[in-house]
Formats: sequence, structure tokens, C-alpha cells
Amino acid sequence: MTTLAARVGDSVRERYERLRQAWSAMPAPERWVTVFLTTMIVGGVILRIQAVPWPNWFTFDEEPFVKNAHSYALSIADNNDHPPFGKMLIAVGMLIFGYNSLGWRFIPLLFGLQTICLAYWLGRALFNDKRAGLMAAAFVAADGFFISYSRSGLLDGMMISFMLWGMVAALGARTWKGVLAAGILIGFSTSVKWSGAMTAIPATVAILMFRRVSIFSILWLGVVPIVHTLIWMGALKLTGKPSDPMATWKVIIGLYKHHLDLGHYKNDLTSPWYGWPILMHPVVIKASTSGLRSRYSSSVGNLLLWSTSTLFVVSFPLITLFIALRSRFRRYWTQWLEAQTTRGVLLMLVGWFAFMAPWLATRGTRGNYTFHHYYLPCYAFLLVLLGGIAAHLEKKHAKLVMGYIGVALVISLFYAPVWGEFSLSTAAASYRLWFPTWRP
Amino acid sequence: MSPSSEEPKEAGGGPSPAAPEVVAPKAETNISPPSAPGPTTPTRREPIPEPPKHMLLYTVFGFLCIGVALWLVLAWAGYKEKYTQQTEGWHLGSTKMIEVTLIRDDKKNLACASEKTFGSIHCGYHGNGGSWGTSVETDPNVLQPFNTVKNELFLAAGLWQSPILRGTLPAERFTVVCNYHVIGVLKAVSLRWSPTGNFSPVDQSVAVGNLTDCTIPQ
Repeated sequence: MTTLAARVGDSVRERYERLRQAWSAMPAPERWVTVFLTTMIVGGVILRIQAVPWPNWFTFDEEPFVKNAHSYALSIADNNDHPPFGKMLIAVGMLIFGYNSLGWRFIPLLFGLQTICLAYWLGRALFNDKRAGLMAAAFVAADGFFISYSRSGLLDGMMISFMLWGMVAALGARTWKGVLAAGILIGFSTSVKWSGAMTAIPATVAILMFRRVSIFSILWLGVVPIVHTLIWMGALKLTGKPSDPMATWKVIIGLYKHHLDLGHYKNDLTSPWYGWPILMHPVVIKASTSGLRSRYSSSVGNLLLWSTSTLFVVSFPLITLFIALRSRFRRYWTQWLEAQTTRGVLLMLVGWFAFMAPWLATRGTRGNYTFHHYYLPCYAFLLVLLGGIAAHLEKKHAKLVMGYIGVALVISLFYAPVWGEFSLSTAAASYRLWFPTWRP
Repeated sequence: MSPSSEEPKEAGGGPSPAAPEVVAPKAETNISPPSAPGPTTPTRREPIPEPPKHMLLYTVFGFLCIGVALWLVLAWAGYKEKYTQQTEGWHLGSTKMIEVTLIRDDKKNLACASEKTFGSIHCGYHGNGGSWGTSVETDPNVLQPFNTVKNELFLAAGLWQSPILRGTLPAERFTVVCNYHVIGVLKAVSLRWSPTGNFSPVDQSVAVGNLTDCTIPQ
């Protein structure tokens, strides 16, 4: 016991010493960036946790998810139009804290915090740089889109967390077991929301791109539908419904047809796919009024990170095309981004497109019945991408990156009240939520 | 399954001879771009670094640690007791404190239609849509439909007679906290949510009562 304690003590001392030396060796701009990033992460964690059970009634889409989560505990059939896993996870929170707002928001909050850690690991592994991981984690931590979904009893935050987890597993895979683990995690993501299945595309590209395992290992990603079906069968069995594979398949097909038919519905909160990158209609996920003051948790992202990522998505293909046509300009590109960063950027763009594709493909049947939060997984990939680029640029243009991250931090501080449900007057909220479509 | 022979050789070995991807500027161009610095010049055979070991293990361990830490923080903060007080039931004859969401136009917007009376209390309109001839502004016995902040529907009379609501009302949405005394239940009632809207029947039983002692929470 004493030996173990001594070893732990030595390890902590050694790490502290290494950190101290790294800090001493850092130039001033990098120190400032470290302070900014730490503030963003700590602030993001606090914004997620503080007063999370308020309001203690259902907001936005919580009601169908929570009521069906409760149904699993009572063995009553689930009548919601999403796969069962997310609701079963929400039920775990209610088993711990009871049927109340803390109970139904506990698990989404847990996954919201885990998403910050996963962004770190994805950024670090993808760009082979701890600094890129730190930046990706800070960007996710200090962005309202992720904060609002961490504070609500909704499914999207959990789906994103499993998505990033699957990507981390795919990137870190050294044997077929790693690919199998990635497949299981992507299966979990798919079992929260079907769109999670799209993670298989960037995961496959990652395995092919980095070639750390045999390309035949990709076949292990075939476990995704098996995991999904098994979870669904378990959920049907739990609620006393026929749970054999054929019966489960019928339920899945029925729900698939229902989703394709959603184009007939009308909803004031809808926004078309092209509106997501330009923040056409971000939804206020939680809104409550007491007296003359209100509390909002808006899904408006950090405006600097959002606009940079959108500009990047638009400009990257144009620049690539230009360089393909005028190869003499390639050296400018190679000065700006080296091979490792370019690989990471390309992979994240594949992820972005993979999650946009279903909504482009089903536009014929779903029409404009799509919502701003469908962009959440795309945006997660873009923030990791920004983290990688910022970490790379910091090596040559430290002051520029310091300024950029400083402005991002200031914007986060300005928007924190409408992300973390601070008590505000309507005027103060409208000062931040500029357009009518941004307000509840 | 171990990494197969298809794994590129450079993944495990050191840097191999560089094959510059950068094409030299053509003679006919007058532009003379800066030369790419040597160490950052990408190469086709550049080794791909290995990812950190045991990454998945760290993420699973981290997830468990966050779960336990979060549980402890929420238990320590007393969030369950602070935010999740159970509300009283809606009992006939009971008085409960409720918070109602309003806008100032609700005085004209909201109305119900029914033949049923509870003593002197009744809806503003008959079942056929005809007016009872009194308005909520002058008569404290006229019922209107409201929603609590928790989105619970109820019918109440006497709200606009509260002293706090007689003055100038806020332009934006606000809430009032009142004592609600339940005097009955209406099953067959139609509701209207705007002065020009039609009355629509509701498919649920709705509590009927009086609102008194209202105040705007500060």
C-alpha cells in the first residue's frame, strides 16, 4: 500500500515538474493561449453543470424522450420515433435521482462532459499534437451548441459523444479488436439516433488513410447493424413486445417509413440544410420565464468559431480546385499546412459531409422538415478541425492564434448568460440573440 | 489479427528518401514564390505517427471518473432537493400557489365557452358562441383559460382584478404567482386563444377556480 502511494506520489510530482518546465519554456503568447484554453474548458464545464435541473418541467423535446425513458422502467411500450438506446440511458439517470428534472438530465450532462474529453483525444490522435487536442476540447467546451444540448434531456448530445468515441477508437485501432470496438461504439451512436450510423464513413476513411491495421479489418464495422438490432431487440423484450429478429425488423422498417414521411408535417422551428452553417434558425433549447426575467439555453454557437468553420468549409474546396488547376501555387499551401494537418483536415471534412449527406439525400421526401440540431455532429468535426489548424498555425504565428482564441473566449463570455440559463431581462437576452429567428 | 503486410512500410520505419511533391515554378512565369522550407516540405513517404497507446482505455476510464465526480458534485450541491420539489396535487377545494405565463393582451385574447356555471362563476361565452354580456375587465366571475409555467391548463376567474395587474403591464411575456382555489372541473368546454380565433373543444378535464393574491415575482 505504501509502495503504491509512493509510486502515485512520484508520478504526480514527475508530471507536475514536467508541466512546470513546459510552462517555463513556453513563449508569452503560448502561455496566454494556454490560460485562454483552460478558462474555456473550466468555464464550459461550469456552464454545463450549474443549475442544470432548472426548469423542473419539460422543455423543448424532452417530454417524449423522458416519458418513454420512464416507460422502460415500467415495462410499457416506447411510442417515440427514435431508436431506444438514448431513452434507456436517460432512464438510468432517473433510476439514480428519481423521476425529476435532475434525473432526466443527468445522463445527457454526463455525455456532454465526456464529449469535451473525446474532442481532446480525437484532436490529439488525429493531428498527433496534444495542443491540437487541447484546442479542440476548449472549442467544444466553450460553444453554446454543445452547452445547450448538455443541459437538456435530449438525445443528440449522447449520439455525438458515441460518434466521437467511435472515431477515437477507429483512429487508435492497432488490431482488429480496436476496429471492433469502434464498430460497437458506432452501433451505440446509431441506437441513440439513426444518423449516428454515418460515423462509419469517416471511421472507414480513417482506417484506410492511416493503415495501421489490415484493410480487411474494416469488415468489423459490419457489427454496427448487429449492435443496433440487438439493442432494439432488448428494448422490445424489456417492454413485453415481440422481440424476435423479424418482429424487430418490422418495427425498424415501420419507423423508417414514418421518418421518410415527415415532410408532410409543419413545425415553426424547422430550417433547411443550407441554413445551418449560417445560423439561420438556432433553437432556444430551454426557455423559462419567472416574473419579468427569463432564462435561456440557446443553441447559437460561438460566432467566431462558427463563422470560421463555415468559411473554411466553403473556401477549402475552392482553394483545392484552384491549386489543382494552378499547381505552381501548391507551395503556398504546403507552407501553410503540412501533411499530417492536411490529412486530419480532410478526415474531418469527410465527417462533416457524411452527416450532411442524409439530409441532402432525403430532401425529396422530408422537404424542409429538418432542424438546426442536425448540424451538431457536423459542427463537432469542424471544431476538431479548427483545433488542429490553430495548433499548427500557433507554431509560426503564435500572436495571431492568441488573438483569435482571445476573441473566441470574449464571445463565449458574452454569450454565457444565454447558454447557461442566467436570469436575464428580455432586453439583455435580445442584445445577444440578435435576430427574431434566434429568439424563443 | 495483427497488422498485415498491406501496412505501408514507412509506418513502422524511419523517414525514407523524400520525393518532393512541390513542382518547380515554370520558366515562363514572372512570379517567384518563396521557396518552401525544407523540414516542412511534405513527402509522399512521410511516416504517419502512431496514436497514443491505450487511448480507448483512457476514454472509458475517464468516462467512469466523470460519472462518479458528477454524481458527487450534484449530491453535494443538493440540486435534487433544491430544484425538484414535488408540486401539490390539484384537489377539489384546495388552494395552491401557481405561476402563470401571461402577455398583456391575454385580457382580450383568452376566452372559454360553456353553459356550466359554478355559483356566480361562468365562462365569457355560451356553448353556442354567444356572449354572456360581461367581460373579464369588469366582472371578477368570468373564467379564462391559462397555462402554468409547467404548461398545465386551467380555467380561472379574478386574475385581472388583482391590484398588481391593474396598472401598466409589461410589454413582453411575464409571469405572475397567485393563489389558486379549485372549485370545480369542466369536461365539456371550448377554448379560444386569440380574439379572432374560433372556439375549439378540449379533450381533457380542466380545473376551474379563482385566482387571488397575485404578485409578479422579482
